[in-house]
Amino acid sequence: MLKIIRDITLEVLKAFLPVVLAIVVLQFTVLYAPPEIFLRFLIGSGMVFVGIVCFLFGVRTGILPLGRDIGAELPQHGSVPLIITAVFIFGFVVTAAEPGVMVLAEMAGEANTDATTALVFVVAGGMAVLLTAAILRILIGFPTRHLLAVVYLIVIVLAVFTPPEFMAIAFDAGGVSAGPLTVPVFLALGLGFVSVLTQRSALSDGFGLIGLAVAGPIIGVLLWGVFFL
Amino acid sequence: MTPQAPFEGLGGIALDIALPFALLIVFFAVFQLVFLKRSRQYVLILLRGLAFAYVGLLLFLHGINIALMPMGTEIGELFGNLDHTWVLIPIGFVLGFLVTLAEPQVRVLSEEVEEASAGYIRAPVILYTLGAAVAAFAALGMARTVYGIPLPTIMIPGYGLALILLFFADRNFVAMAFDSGSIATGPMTVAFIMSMTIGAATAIEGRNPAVDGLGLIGIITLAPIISLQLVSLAYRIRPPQGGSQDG
Repeated sequence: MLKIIRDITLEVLKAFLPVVLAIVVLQFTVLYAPPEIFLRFLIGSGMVFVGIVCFLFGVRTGILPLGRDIGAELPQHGSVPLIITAVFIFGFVVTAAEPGVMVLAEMAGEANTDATTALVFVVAGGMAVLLTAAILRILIGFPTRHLLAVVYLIVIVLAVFTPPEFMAIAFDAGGVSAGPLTVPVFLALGLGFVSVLTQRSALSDGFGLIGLAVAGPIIGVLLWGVFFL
Repeated sequence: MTPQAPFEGLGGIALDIALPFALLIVFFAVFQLVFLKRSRQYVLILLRGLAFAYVGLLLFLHGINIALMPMGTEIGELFGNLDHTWVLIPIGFVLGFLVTLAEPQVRVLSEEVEEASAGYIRAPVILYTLGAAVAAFAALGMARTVYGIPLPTIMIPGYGLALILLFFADRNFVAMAFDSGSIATGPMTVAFIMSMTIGAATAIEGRNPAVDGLGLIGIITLAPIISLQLVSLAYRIRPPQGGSQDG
């Protein structure tokens, strides 16, 4: 356990230190932000560092094996309706809790709480629908490439007809809905799911779940823009 | 700064992320009791991992709120107020690269790819390709805010190109490339790069933060999709040692 933590600490230090140093250099050359903001930055950076180390350790020893276990059991015991229900609920709850989603909804909702809540629902709902479709794709064995082509073609067509403000929110929503919470959970679920199905490759079938799922929020918000404005 | 100020807002995040963790535990508990029947020690290690992940995520997010977000806004406003707003473009490039390499879920993805491909695709290949591509697209996104380029001009051809590449790229790379698109933009990117563009759009005359500030995340999402599919073309021409496993 100690060796894993030491490895992670070194790796994160190498990754995160440059960001902090870049800001410190900016601060003392051109930025000169108020000292209390700079102090908070230093304290907060310490929290971010310790947080990432704990989180990655927890993902490796807890979330990934757990997601794989559940993913591997679902196709063996679950009936198709059960799989659909479980994946849908899972997708909705985990996405609604993904921190980036809330941040974006607040920025885009411009302090209107109804708009913010509605946006979170559209994003989480869209994600849950497409995640379920992606899992069904694995079961049926429909090629990832074809489903991706269809889904992103729909995205392009809708993007042409939607107002630009909605387009910005839609694509941003797609980007933020795959974050530190949803990625390990859905990735592990998909890889576990594939591991027990014969004739499925981990690379081309286990991945793709997230890429398909994030089209859900994009399509959801674009449709909102096309039909309600 | 009052002594408790660094912990303001911590409780709210703790509640927000408690639900999915609780759900994970409930799901696992059901599977464990009915099907899995893992050993006690295995379950304890798993629960310890979940506890670490929860505390880690909490500290990470809270740290971002108090550290990176206000700093990002400061930087955006500073450079947006300069006469030479173009400096935002190289700044976007450098910070885009650094922040992507620091995003924790980008690391999770790179390692999973190396494992799933049995070492055929090395983690650093993914990591640095993503870093470089995001840097380029973050610079493009900054240019868009600075010069007021309409978003559809970038997004529609961008996704068009991604779709065309879909039919030429190695099929093992395609799924991963689309996954990486949104994975590359995590909370650190949102907090930092997005606050910077919104700060800049607020400061630059004639820019509306709601129109010109948003959309950068979407532009960055294109970076991995396009770049990883291009990398797969390179792999096809000259496969690295260890044999091909195209199938």
